Amino acid sequence: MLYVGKDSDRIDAQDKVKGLAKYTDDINYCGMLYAKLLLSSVAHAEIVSINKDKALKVDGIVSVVTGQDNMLCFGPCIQDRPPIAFGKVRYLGEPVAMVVAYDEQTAQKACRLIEVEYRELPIINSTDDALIDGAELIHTVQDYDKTITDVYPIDNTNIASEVKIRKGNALDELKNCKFIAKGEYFLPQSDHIAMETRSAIAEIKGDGQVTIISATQSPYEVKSQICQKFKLQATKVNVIVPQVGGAFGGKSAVQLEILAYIASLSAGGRMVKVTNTREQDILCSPGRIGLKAKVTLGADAGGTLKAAHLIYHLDIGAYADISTKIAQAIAVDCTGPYKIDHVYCDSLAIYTNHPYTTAYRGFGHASYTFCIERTIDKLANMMGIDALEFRMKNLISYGDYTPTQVKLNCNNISNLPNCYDKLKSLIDWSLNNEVIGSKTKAWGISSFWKTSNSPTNAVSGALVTFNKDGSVNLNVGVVEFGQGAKTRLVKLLAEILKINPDKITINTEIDTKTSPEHWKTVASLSTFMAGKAIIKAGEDILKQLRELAAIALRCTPEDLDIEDEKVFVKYNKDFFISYKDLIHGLKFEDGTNIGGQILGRGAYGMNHLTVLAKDSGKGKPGAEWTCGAQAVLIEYDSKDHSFRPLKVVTVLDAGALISPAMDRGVIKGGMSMGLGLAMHESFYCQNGRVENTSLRTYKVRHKEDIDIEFIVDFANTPNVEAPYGTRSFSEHGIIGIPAAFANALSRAATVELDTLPLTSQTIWQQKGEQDVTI
Amino acid sequence: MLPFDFCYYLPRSLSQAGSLFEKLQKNSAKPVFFGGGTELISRGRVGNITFGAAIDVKSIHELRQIKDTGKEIVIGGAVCLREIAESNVFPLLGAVVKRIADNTIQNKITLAGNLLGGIIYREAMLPLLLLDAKVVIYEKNSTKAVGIKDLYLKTPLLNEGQLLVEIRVDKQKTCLPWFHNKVVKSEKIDYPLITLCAVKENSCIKYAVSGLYNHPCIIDKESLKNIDINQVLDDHISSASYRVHILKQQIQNAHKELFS
Repeated sequence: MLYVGKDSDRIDAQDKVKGLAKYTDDINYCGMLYAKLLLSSVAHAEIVSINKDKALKVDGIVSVVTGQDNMLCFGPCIQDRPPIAFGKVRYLGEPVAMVVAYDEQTAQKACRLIEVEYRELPIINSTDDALIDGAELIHTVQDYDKTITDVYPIDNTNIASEVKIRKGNALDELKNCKFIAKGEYFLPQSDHIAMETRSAIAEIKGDGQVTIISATQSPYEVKSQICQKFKLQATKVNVIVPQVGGAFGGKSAVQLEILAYIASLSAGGRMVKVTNTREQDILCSPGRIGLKAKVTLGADAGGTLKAAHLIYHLDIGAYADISTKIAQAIAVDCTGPYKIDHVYCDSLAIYTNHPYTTAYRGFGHASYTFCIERTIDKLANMMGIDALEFRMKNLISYGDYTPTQVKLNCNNISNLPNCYDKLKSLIDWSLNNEVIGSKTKAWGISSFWKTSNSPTNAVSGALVTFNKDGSVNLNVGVVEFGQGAKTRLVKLLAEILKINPDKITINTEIDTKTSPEHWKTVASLSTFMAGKAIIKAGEDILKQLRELAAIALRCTPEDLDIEDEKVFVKYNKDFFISYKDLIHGLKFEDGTNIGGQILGRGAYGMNHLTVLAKDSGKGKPGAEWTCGAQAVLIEYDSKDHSFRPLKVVTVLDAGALISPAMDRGVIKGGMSMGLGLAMHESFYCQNGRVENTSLRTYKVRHKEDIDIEFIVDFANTPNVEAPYGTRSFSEHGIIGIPAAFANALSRAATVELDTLPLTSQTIWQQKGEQDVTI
Repeated sequence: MLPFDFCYYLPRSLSQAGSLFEKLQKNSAKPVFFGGGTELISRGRVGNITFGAAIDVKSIHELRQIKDTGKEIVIGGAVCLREIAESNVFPLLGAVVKRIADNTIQNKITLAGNLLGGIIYREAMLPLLLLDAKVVIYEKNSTKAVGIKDLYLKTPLLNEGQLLVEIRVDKQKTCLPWFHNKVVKSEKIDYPLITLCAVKENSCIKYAVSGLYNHPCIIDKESLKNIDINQVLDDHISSASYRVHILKQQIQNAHKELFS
C-alpha cells in the first residue's frame, strides 16, 4: 500500500490549532436576527397559559413564537416531540417559547418577560416509576405517527419501544446451570459536552428556497425532517455544515435546525441564528440515556457460558428521538462478545420526565457492557476461575451465532482471541491485587463488541473532479467533527488513484445541494460506507483514464497499468501518458481533442441487512462486529477509599489501519471519555430537575489529570468486504472502560460496585459506612 | 452574553470609588463593586443577578498590595488568588487558594471576591478565622478594622456600599504550624466535599472547615459531637453523613500531622 497504513497529519489540523476554523456560531451576517429560548421551569405540567404581551413590547423584538404556532411533532423513530411545547411540558428545560430579535441581548431580555402558567402533573423520576401500574402517562404513544416501522411502543404505557431477543430457551437452560450470577446495575443519564455547543441558522428566501446552516452530524436528516413536516420539495431545502467542534452522537439529533426554521418563518424568512448556551446544551438539547439493568448469567460446571437473562430499562427521558433505536442496539449485542446459545433479553426504551436523549458515543454499548462485564467477573469469582481465562474460554468466534442469530465468519467479526493474547502481553495480570501498605493495585478487564444499527438501506456517495494541474477534488457527505474521517477518506482515494494525498482536497463543508448524500455521520460507518463509495469512484476514474489512454497509447485498456500518476503500457513503463494530460480530455498535437473532463462517481448502499423480527429479534442489524479487549489498572487506598487509574489499555482488532497514529488517538479519546463515565459524568437529577447544568458542577475529565498511561494496540485481521481490509471503528474506545474500571475497583476494594460514576463515598457506603472515632 | 446593559467605571482611589457608589446608588443605577468578575459574570449570564454599574476596584492602590509590615501581613481585597499563592507571605492562605478553581480562574478571583461572594464555600475564610484576622472596610470616607469573627456569619457579609480594602494578620501567627487538606468528590478542581484547615498554637489545635455547612466555620472536638446532621450539606457532591465522616477523618489526619 502506498498511503493506507502510513501516518499523516490530519487535514483539519492546521485550521483548528491556529484558530482559523469557522464554526456555525462564527457566522454573522449584517441584518441577521437572533433567537433565544424560554425553557420550562417545571418537569411535567399542563401549560395553562402563556402571556407574551410584555415581551412583545420590548424594543428590538421581531416575534415571539410559542408551541401553538406550529403544532407539529418530530422524531426520527416516533414523532412525539414538538419543537416548542404545546399543551404539556414533559421535562424541565423544554422550550416553551422563542423570541426573535435584532440582537441576542434583547431576545434574552424579552424571554424573561414571558409569563407561563403551569398546572403541575406528577413527575416520573425513574424507569421504575414509569412502569408502575397506573403511572402517570407522559405520552399517549398510540396517537403518534411512526417514522420507521420497526419501533414498538406499547399503548397506554410509558414504553416507547420494546425490543425482544429470544434465542434458544434461556429460562429452562438457566435452571440447568451449575453457576448463576446475578446483578442489578444503574447508570445515570449524562451529557456529551462537545466543545462547540449546538447552533443553527435558517433563512427562507423570497422564492421559498430554504437554507439551514448547522452544527450537525445529519445534514440529510435535517433536510428530510424539515421537508416532510413543512411540506417542502427537497430541492427547496439546502443544509450547509461548516466545521463542527465535537459531536459524540449529540449532533445527530435534529432540534435547533427546526427552531431556527420556525424562527425564520415568524420573521418573514429573514436569517435567524439560534445558539445554545452551555447550560441549554446540557439541559434542553438531548443527552445520553440512563440505564437500569438486571442481568443473570449461567454457566455449566466446566465454566462454559450457557444462558443469559437480560432486562435493560433505558431512561430515554421525555422524548424518544433515536433512543428507541439504542434499545435495539443494546438488544442486538446484549450479551457482549460471548458465545451464549440461550438468550432472553427485553430492552425497553422508557419515557421519564428527564431531559430527552439521543445517540452518544457507543450507542448504548458502554452502558450495557458495564452490566454484562460486571456480571462476568462475579460469575468467574463464584466459580473460582480466573476472570481473564473465563472470558477467553467463552469468546464468540467464527461459526457462532450472535443474539440476533447472525452467523459469524472471519470477515464479519474481529479476531477476539488475538486481542486477548495481545492484552495479556501488555498487562501484568499475574501481579493482580498487589498490596503495599494500605494501597492495592488491581486490574480489571472487559471485552467489547459493536455493530452498527443503520437503516437497512443507508446510503453514501462520492464525487471526484480534477483540476487542470492534475490535483483532485473529492466531495462526500461525511461530516468531520474531529474523528478524522476526512483524512482517512482522502487516503483511500489516494490509494486507489495512486496519487499523493497532498494533491487531493476534500470538502470541509457539507452542502446537501452538491455533496452526495451520506446517511448520517454516525455509527462508526463513515470509512466503511463512504470508503466503499470512494473506491467505486476511483475505479470509475481509472476506467475512464485507461480508455482515454488506450487511444493515446494505441492499445486496448486492458494493456494498461497505473502508477505514479501515469497510465503506462504493462511491462513497458517508458510508454506512458500522465494523468494531467488525460483529465480534461486528450488533446493531440494538431489541436483535435477527445473526451471532456473526467468525473468520478461512486455510490454505496448498505446491503443484506434486515429488519429484526419483532418476537425473536432475529435478523441482521449490521455488516460487521468490531471487537476488542480493554483493561484498567487501579490504585486503591483502603485508608480513605480513594483511588486513581494508573493505566488504561485497549487492544482493538481494527483490521488494516489507515492512519495508525490518528487511529490510536481516536481510541484514546474514547478511553478518556470512558474514564469520565467511570469517575465523573452524571446528571444529578432531583424530582425532574437536573442540578448540575454548568461545567462548574457537571464534571468531565480535566486536562490536569493526565498522569495516566494510555496504551493502545491493534490486531489487524482484515475484513475483505471493507475498503483495503479495514474494519469500522471510531466510537469503540469508550465501550469497555467503565466496566473494566469498576471490575478493577471492585476487586481492589473487595465490594461489588454496580453503579456509576464511582466515588469514594460509594465504596464507603458499600462497606457499611464505618465511622472514624476521634 | 450578559442580557442587560451596564456602565463600567474604573476609579483610582478609595474616595473616588466610594463617592461613585453613593452617586450611582442615589440615581438608582444599581452599582456593584467589580473585582475579578467571575461570579458577577457567570451569575449575570444565567439571569441570577443584574447590575446597572460595575465599579472596577482593581486600580485602587490599597486594594492591590501585598505587604509585610514586620508585624502584620496585609493583603489587599483585589489581590487575585494566584498572586497570594505566589507571594508566599501567608503559606496557609496560599495553600488554600491554590486549590480554589483552576489556574485561569485563580488569575481572576480576588481575595475579597472569595470572601464576600455568593458561593457558600469561601475557603479563603478558613485561615483568616483560625488566625483572628482583621478586615479593613471602607465606607463613606473612612476605614475601620473589624475582626473577621464578628463578620463571617453575617449575610451579606458587608453592607451595600462597603468595600473590603484589605485583610491584616499577625505575622507571627502565620508562622504557626498548619494543616490544610481539601477533599473533593472526584475531580481535583471542584467545590470542596470538605476543606479542613488547622493551626497549632501552644500545643492546642484549632480547626476551621468549609463544605460542612452552608458557610465556613470554626470547629472543635466539642462541636464535632453536636453536629446537627440536618444542617450539613447534602447534595450531588456528597451525602451529609459522608461529609461528617470525611471531616472526622481529616481532623484525625491533621492531629496526626501536627503532633508528629
